[in-house]
Amino acid sequence: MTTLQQTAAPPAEKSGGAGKRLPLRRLRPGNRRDLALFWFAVPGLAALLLFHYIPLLGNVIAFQDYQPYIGIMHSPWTGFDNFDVVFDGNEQFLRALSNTLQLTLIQVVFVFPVPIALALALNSLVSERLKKWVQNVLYLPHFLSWVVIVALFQQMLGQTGMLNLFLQSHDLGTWNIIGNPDTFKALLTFQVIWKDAGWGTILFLAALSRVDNNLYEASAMDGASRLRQTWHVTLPALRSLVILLLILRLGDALSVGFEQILLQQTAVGLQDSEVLDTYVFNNGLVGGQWGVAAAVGLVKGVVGVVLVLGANKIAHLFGEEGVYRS
Amino acid sequence: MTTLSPTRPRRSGGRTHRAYSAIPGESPGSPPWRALKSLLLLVCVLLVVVPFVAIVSTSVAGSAQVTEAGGFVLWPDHPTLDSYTALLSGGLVSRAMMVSVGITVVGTALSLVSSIMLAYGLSRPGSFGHKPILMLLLMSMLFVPGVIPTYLTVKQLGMINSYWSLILPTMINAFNVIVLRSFFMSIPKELLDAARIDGASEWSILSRVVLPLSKASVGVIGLFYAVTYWNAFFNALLFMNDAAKWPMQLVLRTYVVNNASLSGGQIDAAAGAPVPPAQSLQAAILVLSIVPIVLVYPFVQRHMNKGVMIGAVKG
Amino acid sequence: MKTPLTRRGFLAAAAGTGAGLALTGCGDFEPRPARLANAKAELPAYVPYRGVPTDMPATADGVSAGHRHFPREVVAAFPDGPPAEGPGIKIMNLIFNPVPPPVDGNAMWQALNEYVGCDLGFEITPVGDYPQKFAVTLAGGDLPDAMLMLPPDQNSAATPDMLDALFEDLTPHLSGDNVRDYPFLANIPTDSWLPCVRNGGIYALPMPRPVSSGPTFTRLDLLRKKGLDPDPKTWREFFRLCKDATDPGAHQYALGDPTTTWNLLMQMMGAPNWWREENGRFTHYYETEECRQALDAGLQLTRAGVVHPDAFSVVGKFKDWFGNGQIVMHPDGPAAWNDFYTVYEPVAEGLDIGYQMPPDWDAATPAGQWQGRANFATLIVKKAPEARIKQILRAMNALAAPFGTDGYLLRKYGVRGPDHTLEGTDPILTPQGTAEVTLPTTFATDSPFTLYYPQKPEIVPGQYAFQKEAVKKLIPNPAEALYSATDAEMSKLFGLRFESLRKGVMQGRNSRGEWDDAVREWRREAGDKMRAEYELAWETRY
Repeated sequence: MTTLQQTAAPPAEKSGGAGKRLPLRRLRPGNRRDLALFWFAVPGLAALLLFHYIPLLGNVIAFQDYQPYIGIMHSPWTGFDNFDVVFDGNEQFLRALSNTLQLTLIQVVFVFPVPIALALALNSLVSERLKKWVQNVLYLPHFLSWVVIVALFQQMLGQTGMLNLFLQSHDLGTWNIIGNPDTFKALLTFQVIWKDAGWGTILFLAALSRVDNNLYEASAMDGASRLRQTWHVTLPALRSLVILLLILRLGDALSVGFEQILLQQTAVGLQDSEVLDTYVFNNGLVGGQWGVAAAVGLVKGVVGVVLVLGANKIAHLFGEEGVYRS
Repeated sequence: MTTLSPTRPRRSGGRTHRAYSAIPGESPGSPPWRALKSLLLLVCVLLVVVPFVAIVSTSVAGSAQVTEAGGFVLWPDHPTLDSYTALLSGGLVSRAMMVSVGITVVGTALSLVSSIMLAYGLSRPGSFGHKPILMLLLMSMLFVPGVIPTYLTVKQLGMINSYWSLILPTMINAFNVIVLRSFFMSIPKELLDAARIDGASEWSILSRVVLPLSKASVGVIGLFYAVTYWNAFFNALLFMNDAAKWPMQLVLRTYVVNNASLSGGQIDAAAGAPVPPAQSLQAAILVLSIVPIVLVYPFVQRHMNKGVMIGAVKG
Repeated sequence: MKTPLTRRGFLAAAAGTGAGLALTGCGDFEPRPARLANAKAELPAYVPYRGVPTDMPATADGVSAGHRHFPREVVAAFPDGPPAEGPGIKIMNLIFNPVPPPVDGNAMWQALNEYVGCDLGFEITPVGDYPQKFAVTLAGGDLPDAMLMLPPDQNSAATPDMLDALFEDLTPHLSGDNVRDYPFLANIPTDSWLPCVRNGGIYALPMPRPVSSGPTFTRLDLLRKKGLDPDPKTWREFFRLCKDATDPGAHQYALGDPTTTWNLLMQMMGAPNWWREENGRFTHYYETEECRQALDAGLQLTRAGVVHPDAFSVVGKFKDWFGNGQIVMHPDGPAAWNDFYTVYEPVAEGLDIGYQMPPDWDAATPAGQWQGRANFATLIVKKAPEARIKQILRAMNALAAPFGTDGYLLRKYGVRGPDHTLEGTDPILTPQGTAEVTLPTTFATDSPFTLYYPQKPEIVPGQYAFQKEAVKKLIPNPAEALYSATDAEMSKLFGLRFESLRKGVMQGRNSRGEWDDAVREWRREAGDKMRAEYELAWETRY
């Protein structure tokens, strides 16, 4: 009984167990069970193949000068021409790449941990009702579209916005945040946190809901301080989820805030705001160059695969489950 | 959808928690730490509440005050529901709301069933097809099909102008499945093995052991799906030619985004675009588009209390 | 029910999308030569409609007719009954406004179907998403009967080859006197037909808009309060007016929208309206000295603090600023004039809107007025049997019924009772009417623009006076009716780059040197090619 409970708490601990037992089950003649599991996967797999992988075949237009009305069949083939936009060392592309990587880094460092911290803070609230209220409030911004959020920020922080009107009325000068290239990345980051940090706590709270209260009880009886409890009981429960999400985020390393940035782009100038996705949009889709957009999509996919598989490997080195284990 | 395990004791999580919160381990820590934490949370809450109060206030403020403010107002001088009556009188908005609710309910149900099955099907490494399917799932997050091929596929399936086009193409979300799978895999193997030794079928293991232990995670993934369905407009834009069948978010778009003339930035509308709908109208439709989905969360939250797992194991 | 559909559909989809793979090497498409794409066609005869007399008539040089009141006797456009009876017509187009209620709850739409004689199925897309929807619909191949096509520089999919392959050449029905079968289409001025010509044929119907474009609107009420002359004659006077009108303490500034402000500065110098044509040689405005001067002037305005501090970062706020008096001058399109009164008069006490022509730069450099696009977009018609084409043209003819007819009244003001009430002879929209008449008939085809504002007839003479003044100074865009593949592909991309740079220079963030570099790059990568294409097109067409 006690053993059961202890393994129940931190999900990470069992990954090793699963791996160890694997050959044992292979020996069993009961592959019928395995087949049963396969049938479970079939409906989802069918949807995935039908609506994802079949359309994905259409990405051959990456090698074409594709025109919608001519179709894939008759559009002229252009070899790797569409990939030039990635590989010809174009200054604008490199700038977009650099902005993208900077933003990804900033977001992994400053945005990614916020929901975790917030979830921990919420989790430690004594009053269940208060906790629910706070949660309910914090996740609201997730439902606003970027257009609305950009307008809200403009009105709160713009030169004639509420903050600056307040500062001016107290002779404190103005604080130029919106439309300022120097603060643009910080602004983007803050907007992302504002929109999604509360929402991001939901997964972590779900994970925390599985932590065995006996563990708290036990550690408290051992005289563990609050901080030690968090460190030894709460965080381990989140570890595998955090690592999983981090790996998946890396797969998306080359995509940052497309719509969010597109909306605010000309206000600060392309120099500091162009990212890969907007670059592809502006250089590909806007001019009807579907092939270019598809080509960049393929390159991004390949980079994503490398990052995800690499990160997964690293996770294994640390004895973590990661996204999957072969 | 799935029945809960009858063996699970009907001990409400809330009660369990309250019992535990009295123990020392749940105490909120030293006073300064506690004050700091409360302050931080308060700031967070204010940062969110103020803009939302502004949105709601704007939706009930008269147009004079809104025009004067040049945008959102913090508090309405003369509250009026004019914007809401104007929106709901045409019949379009209320119909769109029904469409969105329908899509969200049906879509979430289908997504949850297929995702739970897929996640469970992938939860035991080494089973038949495990690795290739998992890879397909993972790769689908990294390689995204273009808009045009997706449209062609949906069209080939005869789903243009059909509500199915808003559900089936987005039924499986790889991220959700992978997260759900990791939750499933964290269930103690001993529990599952015990059930297997008892001769339980995979169906009954899923429905009687796994799901009751995963209420929080299934609830969260269900919420993720529901919100995705609720917020989606792009597929409707492509697949629904008849505006009478539009979901709420696409109707909302013609109120809020259109005149921003930068939803794609492709059309010169700097001069010659009509005056945008009054800000109070925009705010009102925003409120209408948020309220229904916000009401869903508390139902999920109910399952996020602590002590669920232990209760089941003991049972 | 799901399984068979899925299996059959799966195969169909696999075949559909996979066909391209199976038949690789088939990329046999060759675009047609530019000369053919820009070949000329015999235009429709211009037969102005004279059914409704006015003392402010339309003129040959592009002034729109003005009317103070709707005629007491509404003219029946089709006294012999609905003109286009037959199967329903699907029209794919766009909308700027919130979508109207669907047909079963829309009195105006129902009446319109009755008036035309068949069901008009409007497939509406929000304006910003239209190019995407257009491309996807082309790819799907299952076209509606008629589609709005944005001009090529806003929609790269609008190629002459595409028109040739999928859409009807309407020349036999419309060229020369043939257009007399469709008298209301014949009432559309020739300027608006020019961009409908491709591949040596008439491939589209116009959506006419006034060539006089819009003025710089001024808040006369606010300027008068300050005792300022609202009508500067030179850039210097304009600059002084801007300074005098600005009062940051009261949150009042002279100007808002940096884009239209810059356009205004260009017009003060008589700079090219995108392109300038001299003896068949084309010059783009990026390349001109005027452009560099306008950038300097823009920077001066920003430095002087007369531009709203949030002007460079807000989205779509300028009209509201003008309405609430945060800015007192605002260059905008012609339709804004009435809109301003409709939207802001109830909230802005004493709202009085004046107009300003672009002041001359100096004594030696007279100003011009950039000619507006003669169409918002055009309507293309899917290939179909002759009888069907005729039916569609008759329906579109009905949608082009001009001011004074029952058709016009219905399109703009809906049905008497639910949609509008009468004040004298003038229709005033009810709230229900306001929602219903957003049905985008005006983005199918339209009658020529008419100056008319039932709520405030006294503003119409001012609008007419503006147009009379404007058409004397029009600077046309010689490339408007021509096709250049490079422009279609590249202009938006460079447009964005230059917009970003222009805003940068006007704020002092970027230097003029950077602008010059960008212009050099533009020339190398796109500009010179566009120029060559347009020069060839010009030579072919005119």
